[in-house]
Amino acid sequence: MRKRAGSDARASTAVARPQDLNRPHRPVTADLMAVPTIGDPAPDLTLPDSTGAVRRLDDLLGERGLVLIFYRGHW
Amino acid sequence: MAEFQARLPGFRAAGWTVAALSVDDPGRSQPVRERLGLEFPILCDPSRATLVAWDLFNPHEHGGIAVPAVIAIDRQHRIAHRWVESTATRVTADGVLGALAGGAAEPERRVRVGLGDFAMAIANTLQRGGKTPRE
Repeated sequence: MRKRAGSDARASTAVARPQDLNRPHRPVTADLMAVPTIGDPAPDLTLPDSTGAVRRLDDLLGERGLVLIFYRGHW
Repeated sequence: MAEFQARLPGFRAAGWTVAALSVDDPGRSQPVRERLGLEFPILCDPSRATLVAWDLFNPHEHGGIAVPAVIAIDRQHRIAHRWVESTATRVTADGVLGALAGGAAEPERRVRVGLGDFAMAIANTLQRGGKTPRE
């Protein structure tokens, strides 16, 4: 994903714990603009749903596409 | 999410499916789905790997949670629209529907956090603990 210019400096204080993630380290910023940009390819997605069934992005897309709601979860 | 459920016929009529995603595991997500009567799936990302890949991971709260957002992905797997929110505001389902139909790309937000939200948060925390375990 593209980052807005200047986000790297802010990211230095907002880094996820890479040791807990099975992927190369990449700074994660709380800058809310440094997120998927319109026109960018969407990262792939394969996850279990709440019933335990595995869902893939391809399978979730409707005739025009998918509206995906990211929510904070229970807290 | 209940609001998106109420507008689900509109999304379907326009050719869009709906899904939700959080760090909660299936054991936490399914009761939410049942309580809200959601017909769309809730995806579970307890490892947080998908959130990191999408640059929507907030590592600072509750063991790491999603940045609240609504992302529309087209059939070519490209981001068609995206609305990234603060803790206290949400784009409305009607706003998303309108934007998908060619209306305002930045529809009005609704201030979300009220007394009911705090009461629900306290009840959930007492029932299940304050953090979702990382897998």
